[in-house]
Amino acid sequence: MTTGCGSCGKKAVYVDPVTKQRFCGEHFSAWFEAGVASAIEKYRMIEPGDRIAVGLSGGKDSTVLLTVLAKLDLDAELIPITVDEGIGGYRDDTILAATRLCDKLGLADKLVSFTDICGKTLDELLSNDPRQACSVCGTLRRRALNQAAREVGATKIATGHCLDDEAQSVLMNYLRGDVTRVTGSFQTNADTLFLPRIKPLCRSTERETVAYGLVNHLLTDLPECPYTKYALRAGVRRGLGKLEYTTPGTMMNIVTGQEKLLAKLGPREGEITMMGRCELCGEPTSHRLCAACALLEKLK
Amino acid sequence: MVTLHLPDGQILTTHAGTLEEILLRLDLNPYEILVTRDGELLLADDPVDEDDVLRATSIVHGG
Ligand code: SF4
Ligand SMILES: [Zn+2]
Ligand SMILES: [Zn+2]
Repeated sequence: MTTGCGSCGKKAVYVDPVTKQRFCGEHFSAWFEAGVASAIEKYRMIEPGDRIAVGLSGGKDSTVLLTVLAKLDLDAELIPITVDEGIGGYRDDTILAATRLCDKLGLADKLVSFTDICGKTLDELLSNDPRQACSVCGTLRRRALNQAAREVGATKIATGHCLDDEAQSVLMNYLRGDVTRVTGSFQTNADTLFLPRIKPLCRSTERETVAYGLVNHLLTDLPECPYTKYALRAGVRRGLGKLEYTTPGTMMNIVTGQEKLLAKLGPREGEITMMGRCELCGEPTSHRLCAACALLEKLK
Repeated sequence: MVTLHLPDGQILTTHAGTLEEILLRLDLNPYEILVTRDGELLLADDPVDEDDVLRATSIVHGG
């Protein structure tokens, strides 16, 4: 039979699948926020005086990220940045959700669109082959976010990636046999040419993150991106989701195992010095063209 | 019958049970789905009665 919150006895709305701790809405929120704060501290993500550009899509993860960052007592300025990829029937609603959230938090949202950075919407870029949607979208979104963050004088970029995303990335590198990435930098920002990226939700599961959004009534019903069916990691995500259900803690084990592996390997400095500048746009890259320019050349 | 509204607009129906039993019966992964009743999150072992109306939120996103 159901029992109440471990702290106050009220009706529980969340159980941590690993520790079996039970929480009412209020104590779950406090626990979740403390988890984010401790990840920020553990990985020294934020220093006093930082100007943090927060990638805000208006979706679940980034909505929770910005809300929690605004709530934590951080000695840093938050500058939300919303990228409009130009996805018909989807983006307008999420942008509206992003703007509403910023109004509520008293923050000014900076909008940047794919049209601003390359003259075309994602829909236009994909007219020939929608199957590449997510890789094109991801590469150009990174570029747009970097550019906008530099324009507003940000010192760091925060994104809503959570533990599930991290675990999926680790696993995908193994599945591709990509040893460079398996042994590469992880949760560090060795390259000073890029704005450092931080992921304050990196130790929170997707389930906790969405539960936080629901408990605090932050989420509205939003349409799904029409390209979701082409998402690269769908299979990995589904498999990991099943494992996480039958063996809670699997994703945390994958991510902490990866950290231990990298700690054993030690720093590998040689790789950083190979960075040069993109011939077309000047972004840091180890090739002649950066990923975004190479992609745009190919799509021409 | 229990009614479960999925995020994509689909509506599924089944018999009473605990939330976990219901999700498994409907072939949904309980890790990937959060369910609310009258706006309140339900736990896996919470009982769900015939006539209850549930809303599912998927934790999954694209990209
Ligand atoms: S599902 Fe793919 S195309 Fe849609 S917003 Fe996410 S990354 Fe972009
Ligand atoms: Zn409580
Ligand atoms: Zn370039």
